[in-house]
Amino acid sequence: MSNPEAIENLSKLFYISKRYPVIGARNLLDIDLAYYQEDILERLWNKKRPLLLCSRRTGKTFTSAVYLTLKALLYPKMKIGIVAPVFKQAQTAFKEIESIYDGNVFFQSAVKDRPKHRNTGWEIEFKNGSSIVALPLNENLRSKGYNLIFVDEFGYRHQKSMNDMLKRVLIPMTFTKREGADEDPTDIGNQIIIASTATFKWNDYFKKYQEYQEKIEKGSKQHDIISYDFLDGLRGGKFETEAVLDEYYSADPLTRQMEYLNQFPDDTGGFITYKLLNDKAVDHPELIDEEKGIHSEPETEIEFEQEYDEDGLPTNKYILAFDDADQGKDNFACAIIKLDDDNVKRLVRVITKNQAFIEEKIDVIRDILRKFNIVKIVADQRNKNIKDNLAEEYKYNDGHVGSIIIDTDDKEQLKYVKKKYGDDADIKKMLEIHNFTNATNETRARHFLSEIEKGRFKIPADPIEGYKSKKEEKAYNEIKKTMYEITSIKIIALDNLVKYKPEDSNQTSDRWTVCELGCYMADEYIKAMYKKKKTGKIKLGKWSH
Amino acid sequence: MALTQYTFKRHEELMDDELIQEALESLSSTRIKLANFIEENHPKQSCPVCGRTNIRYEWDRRLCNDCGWHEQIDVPHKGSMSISRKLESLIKQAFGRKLAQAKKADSMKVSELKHVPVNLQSFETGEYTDEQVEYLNERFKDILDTPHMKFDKKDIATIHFLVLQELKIKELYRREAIDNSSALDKDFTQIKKNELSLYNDLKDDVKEIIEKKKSSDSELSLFDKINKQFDSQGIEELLGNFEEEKEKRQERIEKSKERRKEILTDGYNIEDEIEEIKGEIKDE
Repeated sequence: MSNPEAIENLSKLFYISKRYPVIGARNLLDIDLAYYQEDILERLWNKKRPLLLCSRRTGKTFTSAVYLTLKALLYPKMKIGIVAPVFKQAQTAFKEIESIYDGNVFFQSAVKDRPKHRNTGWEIEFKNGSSIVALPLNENLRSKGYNLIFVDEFGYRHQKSMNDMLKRVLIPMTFTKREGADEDPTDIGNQIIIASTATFKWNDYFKKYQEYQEKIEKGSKQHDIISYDFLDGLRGGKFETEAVLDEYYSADPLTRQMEYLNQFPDDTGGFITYKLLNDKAVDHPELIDEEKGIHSEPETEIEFEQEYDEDGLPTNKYILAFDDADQGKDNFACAIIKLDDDNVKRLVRVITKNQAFIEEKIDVIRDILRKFNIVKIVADQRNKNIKDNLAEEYKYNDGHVGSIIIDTDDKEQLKYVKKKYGDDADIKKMLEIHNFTNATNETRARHFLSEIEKGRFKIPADPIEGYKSKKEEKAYNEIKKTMYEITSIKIIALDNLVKYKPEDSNQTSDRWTVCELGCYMADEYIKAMYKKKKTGKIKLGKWSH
Repeated sequence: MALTQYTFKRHEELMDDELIQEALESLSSTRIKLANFIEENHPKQSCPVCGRTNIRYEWDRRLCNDCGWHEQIDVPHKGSMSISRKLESLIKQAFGRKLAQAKKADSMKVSELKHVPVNLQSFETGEYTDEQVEYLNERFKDILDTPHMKFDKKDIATIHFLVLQELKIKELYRREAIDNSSALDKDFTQIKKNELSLYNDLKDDVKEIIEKKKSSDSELSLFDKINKQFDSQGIEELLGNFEEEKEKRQERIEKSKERRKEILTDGYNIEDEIEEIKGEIKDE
């Protein structure tokens, strides 16, 4: 730095930026923020305990990254820690800082070295003694000292209670004053920022939100709740309107409330609550290395095709449950359920089609049959159209001919098919029709609840590291809609009858139907297979080799 | 990795009776697994023709031992995995395994590597011919002499490996030029691709080192920018403009606050708001 005029001007800019951070963002980092992001930046700058309640597509993490960068640049020896329930989430916030670093010469000239990615933490060290570190959240952090802690995705599931982690681990980390803080009138002292999208009311984040509200009402000058939603994001002009709206409209109503409109809904109060589903059915990956923040591979994941062993054979059996749309608003829905050890049933795909032609529905089923080792197809008695169409030969695009699939108990259908295609035709008795009556509906619903409670029906959790493709995102959105449908089912008493259906008559329930039916029929299949094995049939051995 | 004729010719001696026997054993074990799979996934309690329960499962069918009734079963398999069902493929697999073992036996031991001298500035360590050393030294010097550039000690290693990689790629292309058959060899093409990708990575690293040094120039331009900023307007003016902007911003923030309050009540129509935003964006 050999230009004395520049040094003088730079120190002026530092002086102004400490008082007007938006000017700092513009002139030091060359970043123009949207109007509400400027407000976020200023409020973060002035409050010791801010809580960021921002929806998707508001640039919450990006604005926080700008804030943390400015803090590190303007205040010497500022130790900044970024944590989140999952280390990958903290890394995402750190990556935002890295992208600012990559595009800004001043930032590059202010650091000792390029950002470092280590197993135990990602770090940028500044020449002025400041540092920004993304760390795995664990008990051992307590011994480390920080002046500013940014807790991102606070509402996400963690092995332990996040409020407890905040109290026992994170707050004690900020007890030591920054060196030189007392001499600087703009330094507000050590700070903890909590950020997340809204959650259910039973989540720790909501409890923290209420606690902050109370403190603000009582006149606390340290606390602040900074809230902006996706409509602000759109008005700010930083996002592609059509793409964001597309995302918004394809989300289920609960996701819209929480992740787009900053609302904290009550649990659905349904036959199966969201909390139960989240605790027992959603297959969250386990934290296997607390120090490095490494999670296990989830056992239940979206599958577009089955897995094979080293001999090229499918490793699992699957049940396919489908339900045709019997009313205009209903969907044609399919659930693919993987049978695993210990009677665990894993939901690996849900596919729906709205107002589709019969050919499209048959294409969906046939495609599944080719990609998964389906041992049983199940449906209820109302699906005659699909049943009849499955009992026809099917030609795939590559010329492969799919088997004729018939009802296991329909002798008439077998007779008809043999007459049409001959005795040598490739006929598979795979379709099992289960009669829906009030009694069976109740049995299945209770069975489904019980299997969820026992942890034997598993649903894939959203991938921690984000979606790999649009296709994957769409598949996970279907799972979210399925969860919404499952939790929206209520027990409704009508005279002497009990019905399991959503309260809102406009709400679809076909995803719920294929899940509960698939779960029940999967267990029926497991029972039947177990009985077969127990009959002790004498085997003559294999002559194949 | 596919087994090509070129690879096969070079290691023909590995193909012996023992290898064929291994492949045959592997085939029969695969068939047992397939038969087990059919029994597990497509069990049949009795024969649909004679009604007896004497059912046998083979690798591609289930059949009745008593009357000869049989039914072909298509075991689902993944495209590339299905090869292990053919004897030819199993022979190739066994050959590949033997080849890997042979290559492993030929490689240098870790303890021997300790005695090879290491010098990042020089290439005369006994591994290269005189011509190669001359080439390497020249290229190394070329890069070090990049105009207006002073490399740090830690950058030398990257440059050292970059020139070695260049030499390796040159040799691969020479080998291809003198042996026409290798041009069509898939393995060889893959090796070339891998080496080129490694070379490009190293080249990018060196480029980044050079770019980083140049950033001091950009730093100066940043100072110019800051100077201009203060030349064009004084602090008071800068702050005055900012306060004006802030007032306008505050209006939008207040509106947004009101809206979020209203969203919490059932009466608020988000669709109207979305339409309004769409209209505003079109107008802009």
